[in-house]
Amino acid sequence: MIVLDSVVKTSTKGKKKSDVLSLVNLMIPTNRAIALLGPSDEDKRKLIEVLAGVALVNSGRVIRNAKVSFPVGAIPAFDKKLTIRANVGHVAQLYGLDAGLIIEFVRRVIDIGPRFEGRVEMLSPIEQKALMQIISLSIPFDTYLLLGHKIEPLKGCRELFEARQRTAGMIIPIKDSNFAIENCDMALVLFNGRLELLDSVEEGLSILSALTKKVKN
Amino acid sequence: MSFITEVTTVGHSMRRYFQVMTTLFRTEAVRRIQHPREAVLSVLEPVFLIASIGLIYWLTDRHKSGVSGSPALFYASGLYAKYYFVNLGQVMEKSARIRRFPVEQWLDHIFIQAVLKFVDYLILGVFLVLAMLPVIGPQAIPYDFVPIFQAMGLLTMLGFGWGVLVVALKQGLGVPGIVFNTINRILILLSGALFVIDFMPPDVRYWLCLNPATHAIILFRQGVYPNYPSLSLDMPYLITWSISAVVVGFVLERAMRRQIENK
Repeated sequence: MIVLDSVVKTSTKGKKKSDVLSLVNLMIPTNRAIALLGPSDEDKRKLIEVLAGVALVNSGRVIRNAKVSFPVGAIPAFDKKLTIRANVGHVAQLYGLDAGLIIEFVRRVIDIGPRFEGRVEMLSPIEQKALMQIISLSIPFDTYLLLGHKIEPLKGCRELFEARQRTAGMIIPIKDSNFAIENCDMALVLFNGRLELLDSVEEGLSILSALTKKVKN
Repeated sequence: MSFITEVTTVGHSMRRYFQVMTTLFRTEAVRRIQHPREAVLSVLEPVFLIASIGLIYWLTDRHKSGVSGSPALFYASGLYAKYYFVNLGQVMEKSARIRRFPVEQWLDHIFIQAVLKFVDYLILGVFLVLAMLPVIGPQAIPYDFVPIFQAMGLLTMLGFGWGVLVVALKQGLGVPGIVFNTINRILILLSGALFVIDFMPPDVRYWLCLNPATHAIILFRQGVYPNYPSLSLDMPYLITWSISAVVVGFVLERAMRRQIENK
């Protein structure tokens, strides 16, 4: 369970301030596949970062009673001067895992041959993103926080994602309603600073649609 | 107050913290071994200055420094201590720019970088002693290591506070970096690294002694020279400033945490 206790999170773009979360009190289960719905991609990203612990809130508390991943697919934490092996080992050890096992696992999944011994910057942007997704998904968290529902088209990535879907919770920012209905069983609707948890994706989509219509009118 | 918490025991938290710190330290050490250029460049400026001053004295056939003994030793002892303080401050800023996973904090990186900078300067110190030994003889070896390590410890505390203050002013108020680089270079000239404070006129000495780093350099040189003039050394003043720098540093780190973490 992730508990949001009177959480306020604002976002500043230039001189404009907007509320991402406005005094939110919510308990989010960490063993379900939850579609994160909302009109603003930036706000959904900020929420994922708050839940992951990458971004701090302005006030309130975020209490995590489960092992929550860092945002899956976030590249910036790579040290590009180190080899891929060293980066993977670093992440594994940070999270208290056997570095050798994780390195070997990631090496098999990403399947880039001898380039695995080279530096991260030698990979293409797609391969770097895939590598970060694979590293994130190779660590056994209780719930995974994805930055988007697009999993890189490398074969190992997709298989790993599907394997984790079966055993762990996920919170996925989604625009594609069909993907949300097929892959998720709950919905989080983020709209104008309000965050609501719904028991089904269909309910979430209809509430989002109603809120959007209300604002337009 | 806002923070992110995981419900866990104290023992678990301590073990986790130790594991994170060990990992960060190991990875940073590996990075330095694989890419030593940055670590070497950071100690090159004082080495270059010391070598240049020594060369100038040798070419001009001058063999006296502010105190008896080799001019190279005199300038090396002052510049070594002063540059340690300057580089430590820069380390704070570098730590703020390191991108992190959620389990890491800015303070973790500050601590790691400070420890490694201390190791860099230990190695530099050994290098300087070994380089000067064949030239000036046994006086290259410090007379008493206790004041030297005391000075390094107090300079570490001062450097931490100064470095975090610089980060706060740069990121909070947008003060350009060149301002602090200039201030650092001016303070090198005004901290007694290149002359003996006790030999200055009283009114000049008064103003120079307002700088706490001046006292740290006098303390450092007490370990190099058995009879270094140290009437100006005010240990309570130095210790008060060092502790205050640490307190201010922690307060600013807490205040800046959201800004740093959300970048």
